Amino acid sequence: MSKLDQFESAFKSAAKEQYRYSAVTLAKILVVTDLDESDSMRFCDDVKAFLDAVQIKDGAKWVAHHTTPDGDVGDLLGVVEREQPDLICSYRNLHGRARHYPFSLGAHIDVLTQATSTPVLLLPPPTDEGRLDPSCRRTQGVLILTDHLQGSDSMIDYGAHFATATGRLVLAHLEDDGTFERYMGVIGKIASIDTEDARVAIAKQLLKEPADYMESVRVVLDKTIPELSIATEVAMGHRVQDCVRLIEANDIELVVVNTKDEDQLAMHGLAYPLAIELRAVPLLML
Amino acid sequence: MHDAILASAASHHHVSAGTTYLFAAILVAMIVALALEEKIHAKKSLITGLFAVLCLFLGTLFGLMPFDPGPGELQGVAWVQNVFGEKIRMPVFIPGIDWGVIAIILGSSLFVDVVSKSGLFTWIAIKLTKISRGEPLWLLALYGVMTVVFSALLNNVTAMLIVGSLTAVSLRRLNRTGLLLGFLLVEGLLTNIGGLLTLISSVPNIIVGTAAGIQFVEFFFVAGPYVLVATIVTIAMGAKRFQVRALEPDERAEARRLVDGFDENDGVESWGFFWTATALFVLFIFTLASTSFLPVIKNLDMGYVALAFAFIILVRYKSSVDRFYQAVDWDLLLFFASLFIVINVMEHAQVLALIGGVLERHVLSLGAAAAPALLASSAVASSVTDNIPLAAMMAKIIGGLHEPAPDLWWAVVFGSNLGGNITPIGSASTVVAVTVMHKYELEISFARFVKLAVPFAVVQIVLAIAYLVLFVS
Repeated sequence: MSKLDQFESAFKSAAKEQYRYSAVTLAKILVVTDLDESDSMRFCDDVKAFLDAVQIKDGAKWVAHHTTPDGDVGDLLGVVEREQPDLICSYRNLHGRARHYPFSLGAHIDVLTQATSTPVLLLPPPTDEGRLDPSCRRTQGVLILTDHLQGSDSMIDYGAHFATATGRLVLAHLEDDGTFERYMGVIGKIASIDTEDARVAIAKQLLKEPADYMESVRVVLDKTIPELSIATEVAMGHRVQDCVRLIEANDIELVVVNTKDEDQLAMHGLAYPLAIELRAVPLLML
Repeated sequence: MHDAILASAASHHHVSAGTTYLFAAILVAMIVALALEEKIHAKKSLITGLFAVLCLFLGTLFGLMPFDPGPGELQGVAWVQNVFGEKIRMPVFIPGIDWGVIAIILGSSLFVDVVSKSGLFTWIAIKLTKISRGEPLWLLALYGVMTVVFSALLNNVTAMLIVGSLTAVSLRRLNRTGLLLGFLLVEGLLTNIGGLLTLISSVPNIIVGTAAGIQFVEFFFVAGPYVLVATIVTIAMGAKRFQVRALEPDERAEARRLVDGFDENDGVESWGFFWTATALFVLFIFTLASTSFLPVIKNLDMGYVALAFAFIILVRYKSSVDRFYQAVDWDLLLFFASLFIVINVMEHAQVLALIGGVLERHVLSLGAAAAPALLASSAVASSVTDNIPLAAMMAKIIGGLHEPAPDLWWAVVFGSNLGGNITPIGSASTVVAVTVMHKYELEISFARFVKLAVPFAVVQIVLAIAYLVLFVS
């Protein structure tokens, strides 16, 4: 390794991503269901109660929209275009028969999350009575799965906005150990790289960057929203299994993830499996 | 063992003109090969090493080398005498090497390498970046001063590595990569200005200063005022030439936010070691500066000081010191060693006397213009080849003159350092600057570098001549 590279690495490591707070305002919230009109209105009220923290801050205008079985995704996008909401609330498999099979989101949600820039709050499916799942009571504990390289500032802004006044933000970064081990396996076959040195140095740097970013979040939020308590978790692990562990360990009531991937039209690699598997926890998809 | 004495003082024996010209041709061939180092893809140490092998062989073949003429058991070999009067065999090339210079370079590079692991230099560099608030003009000025100071206290290559890599990272972060070429060029040129500041700032200084008996403090007080003026002029010229302007008011907040994102503490793994390294570094500079009058130390000289500090700070990494030994620039050290051997053979072959004669007739005979002419010719010579052989050769030649004027030594010091600013191969630090430019895909050919650098170099050389004539003579 050349000395030029050594110094350059040192300076690159010292140049840290810094969180910048931007206030979020949700002036209009669109609730999309596949229920009939009256159930749809009632479901909308349930969501409004669940998002009481947001309602207190923004006093948003709520619009309930119930899709019909013969309406397609294009119609729904038309509604979004017309209403210009700041948030869309819905649930998986609208008009789909696979709602109870945890393998997909359904065409409506797939397209909504990618074709519009509007954040989508993915709720658990309504009860048989057409009500919001009773587990959704408030947004006291909010988990933000940060991807410090892409769109994280916005995730933090939304997470802080959705949390109740004395809420708790858990900032988590889970570095996928499967991917890490695969690269380590390759490095282990390259004679010119010291495998153990590489393992220690790469793991340390992978975890250091999100930890540094989270520290900058803590510094800023301590000043701007001092009532919020902030916890951080940076670790190697399985992104879905460990996410579930974090949700259970921290009484999480809302998970915030980033769905946009600049390199592709499909959903961000981490967001999709989480959206599929975390069916009981509301998921704010940015 | 002390006062190594060669088996015979054969340095002034008769040498035929043909032999002298043959060795002069070999010297020219070596200098040309060094100038074409990049073209022939060979390291300096290999080039001079091969020439040293050739010179020793031919020098022995022609009977130039100081082997014992006998009779006795040591007939035909080289020896030195120890304190007991015993004659000990010694390879003939060993006494030809200036071990003081080797010790200073080895010790300093080890010491600086370990200190840099403490994060001290990156800490200073990032602090200055933050002080600039992302203002390009301030950045250029602060990076310029930092280059000069680091070049003076570390060495010009390390200074260029630190400041060049920081410049690339910070300008990219500030979205000012358009300024990168200008910044790197100015910094590259300033390394050779900073290299003039102290006796240990560059190898020519060490070689010439040691030969001339110039002390650290004296060197600093003579070179300092020039370095100050040349630094200010170079930065001002750079700002004008590369259109480095102050930010508009609406750009300042964002620039400040971006540089505030640098964390100067990131590279500090242990604050205890950081402060220890800082204290040792300050003490190192102080000890070097006062070597000539510190009791005991003055007898041991600067090489001892450099090696002593290297070993003291290596205690921090006591179980892995081999890592630092591996990182030593062995190419540079072997280059010096073999170069000294070549110069030593050239001395025996009367080549240096020949060059000295030419110099006396054509340069030193100019009277008041001798030093300026020597400075300018040294600068031109060191712009196309390594300034170290030039310094080593000139040190021997001037040292051989009867009561040489002090300004001749200084002319070589200024010329050999500033000549490095004329071409991209003129000094190791400008080579590093060009390497950084290439790494960031900046268009810089040999001709373009010369075109950009020559106005700076001419101003610096003219300033040096004026300074030499007005103040040093």
